[in-house]
Amino acid sequence: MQEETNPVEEASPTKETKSSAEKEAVSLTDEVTDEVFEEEEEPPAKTFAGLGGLFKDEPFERLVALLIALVALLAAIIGFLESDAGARADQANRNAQRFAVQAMGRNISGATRIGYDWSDAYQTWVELDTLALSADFMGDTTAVARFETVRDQIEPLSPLLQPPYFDPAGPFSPDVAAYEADLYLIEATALAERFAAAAALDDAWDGKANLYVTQLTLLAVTLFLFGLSITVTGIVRWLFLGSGLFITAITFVWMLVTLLWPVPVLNDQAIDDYAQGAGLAHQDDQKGAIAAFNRSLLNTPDYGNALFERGNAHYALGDYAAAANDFEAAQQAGRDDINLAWNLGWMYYLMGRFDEAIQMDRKALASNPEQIGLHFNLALALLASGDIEAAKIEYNRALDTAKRQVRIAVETGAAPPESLWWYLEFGAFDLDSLHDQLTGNTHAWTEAPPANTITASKEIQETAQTLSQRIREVTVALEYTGEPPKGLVTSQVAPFRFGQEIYDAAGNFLDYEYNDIYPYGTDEVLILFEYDQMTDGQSVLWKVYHEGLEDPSLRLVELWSLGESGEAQKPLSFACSNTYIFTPGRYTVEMYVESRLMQHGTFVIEDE
Amino acid sequence: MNQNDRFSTSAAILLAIVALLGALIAWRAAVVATAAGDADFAGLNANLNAEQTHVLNQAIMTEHYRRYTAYLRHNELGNLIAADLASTPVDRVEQLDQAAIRSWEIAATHQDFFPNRYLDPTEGYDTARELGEAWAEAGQQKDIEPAPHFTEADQLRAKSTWLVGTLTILGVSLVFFTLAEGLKSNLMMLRYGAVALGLIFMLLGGGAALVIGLFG
Repeated sequence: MQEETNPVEEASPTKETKSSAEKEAVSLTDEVTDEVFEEEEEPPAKTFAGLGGLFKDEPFERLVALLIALVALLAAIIGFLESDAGARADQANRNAQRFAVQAMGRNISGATRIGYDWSDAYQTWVELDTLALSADFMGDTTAVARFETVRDQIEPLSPLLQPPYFDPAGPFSPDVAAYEADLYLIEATALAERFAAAAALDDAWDGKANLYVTQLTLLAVTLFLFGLSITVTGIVRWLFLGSGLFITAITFVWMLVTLLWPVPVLNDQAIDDYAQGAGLAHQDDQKGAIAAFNRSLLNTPDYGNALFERGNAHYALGDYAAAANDFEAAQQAGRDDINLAWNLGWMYYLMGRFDEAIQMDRKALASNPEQIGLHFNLALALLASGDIEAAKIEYNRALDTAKRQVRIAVETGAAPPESLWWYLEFGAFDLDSLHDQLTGNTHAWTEAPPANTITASKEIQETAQTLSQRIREVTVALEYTGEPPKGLVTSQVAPFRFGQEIYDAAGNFLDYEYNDIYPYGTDEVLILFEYDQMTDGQSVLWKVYHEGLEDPSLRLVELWSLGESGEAQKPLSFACSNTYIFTPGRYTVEMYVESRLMQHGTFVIEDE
Repeated sequence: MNQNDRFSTSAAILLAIVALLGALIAWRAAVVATAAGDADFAGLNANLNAEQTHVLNQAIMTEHYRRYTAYLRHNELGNLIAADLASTPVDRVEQLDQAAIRSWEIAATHQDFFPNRYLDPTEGYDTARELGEAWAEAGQQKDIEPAPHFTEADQLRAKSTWLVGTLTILGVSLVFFTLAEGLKSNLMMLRYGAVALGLIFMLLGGGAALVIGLFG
């Protein structure tokens, strides 16, 4: 395309300085232009005339050159901002790495030190104290003095054996949680939070730097358009120029917005208060923890982790509504992860807000579909909401996931993850809690929604019981055979009775004394039962639950050897030790035959 | 070449000088930024070394302290049994004597597993001294002081950023030179004013870059 001659250019005084050859060329060009572009629209002469008054020959090009210089200046400014943002991002990234390494170091060092304080210093102290006690029983006062003297020399070796963590004259063992908190937990928590804060800062500054790079790219496009505008004529050059100016304006505004957009800076005091709160929560001082989290949130109201942990503290105190509020606030503050959704879903469930619980559990499951605990929570919420069929489907999904995980572990020769058994146990535990709530048989450990929030409770009650038994049987089968339970067992076991043997003065056995409640200090309880259709060689598993959760130290696996039918007794005993007794509380004993739950019963050990 | 041409040529040369100066400053900024990155790396390396040293020293010291605890227990027990011998009935002297010897022997086996140099007759085992010496020894072997590297990195990063910042000042001179080069020759005041301003900003930018480069 040939250049169009501009009327302003013709009027320009610099034309007079052109040579005659140039004038001829211009004249020829004018003729050709007239012929070829007769119908082409002329550029707005008025605007151009104004520029002509300011710039010398070829004023459009001069204007473009000036605009290019201005865009270059803007690019330099954005380049400076990009460099600054990039530098801040680098610095934050480095700090994040530094804090992460330091937090890890403090945790390891602290755990190493605690290992000594508890397993060596305190263990030695206890041993010497016990030896002194034994010597005292035997009347050897000299030995008592010796053991006590050495025991007292152990105390200065560890702060754990000194106030405020330990009172050697008192009945309690050292307050390890408080010692851990003071020794390293608070510091390590603060470092971990500083790591998270620095990582967030890095992310924010990096985001800004990337936006500036995008803006620089847009300015490059602008420069290209300006350059193009001087190679073409007519309306197109104005189009290019206008587009360039428009992009420049947009970029300038965008730059200002990027510059003014705040970055998340976490207040140091807020972090320190948060770490104090975490330390108090570790010591189970939930009220103190809430107060510390409050101080932290006073400094930084949208501190997601502080809101989350305060929610956990409220939950530990049983204030589910406050916990849910904090979890929701944490979510809004940006802490939107699977743990939060998990906890919030559980709070909704406990408050009877089943639709929200289901929604939140589904959201959490979307993040990790293999998480069995979440499948159980979703299924439980569905069950409590009255959607029994959907609940059964979800429980099946959970158990299928468990079976799959065990199968994969067996195929690869690895052990299934230990957490699997934990989730399975809690799946059954939560169903039992729901059942207990609906039957009005609640315990200290019962966690379930208020009964009045549940309709069709009779049907739900029965389903909960059936599902709980199924989960328990699948758990036993998977743990001991790697496969789900197969077939039915025809054996029969009558309901358990609990008792103790009675002897006469000569030590001859007289009878059993049956009871479901035993005094503090009991070290043996017999499980007495009748059985029928048993077969020698059948696998039998005994599980004992204390306050709703299994005590694995009392678990017993054996092959049946008592014949087809008869009466049997099974001792639950600490009698071999002169130290251990049953901890007060409610004990439930379960008997499994070939992974099928055959019978269960409950007895209670009274408080001291 | 008439005066107008000379002016235009001079403006063009100044524009070229600004461009070259800008390129030079950008290069220096890049070099400094790279050095900042290197200092960061050195700092993180020292940080890792420091934490590693801290954890290992703590673990070693704890093991020594563990052995010392067992040593103290058995040694003191042996001492106390021996002290009781004088007041012990004759029929039990032999038994107690053996017990004291056994206790000392066990203490002696533990004594082989911790350095005696940290034994303090009054304070027991000086863990702080052991950790302090181990730290000092590690400091001779490897870099365990990250702070100076991080300080250097921060200074270099600031220097690089400010060097890039001087490009903004040069950008202003670019605008003035371009304006001067494009203005009509009859707008003398404006042309020379623009050139003067361009020169001022060029010198400001170049001077600032020089100061930052030399002293920043």
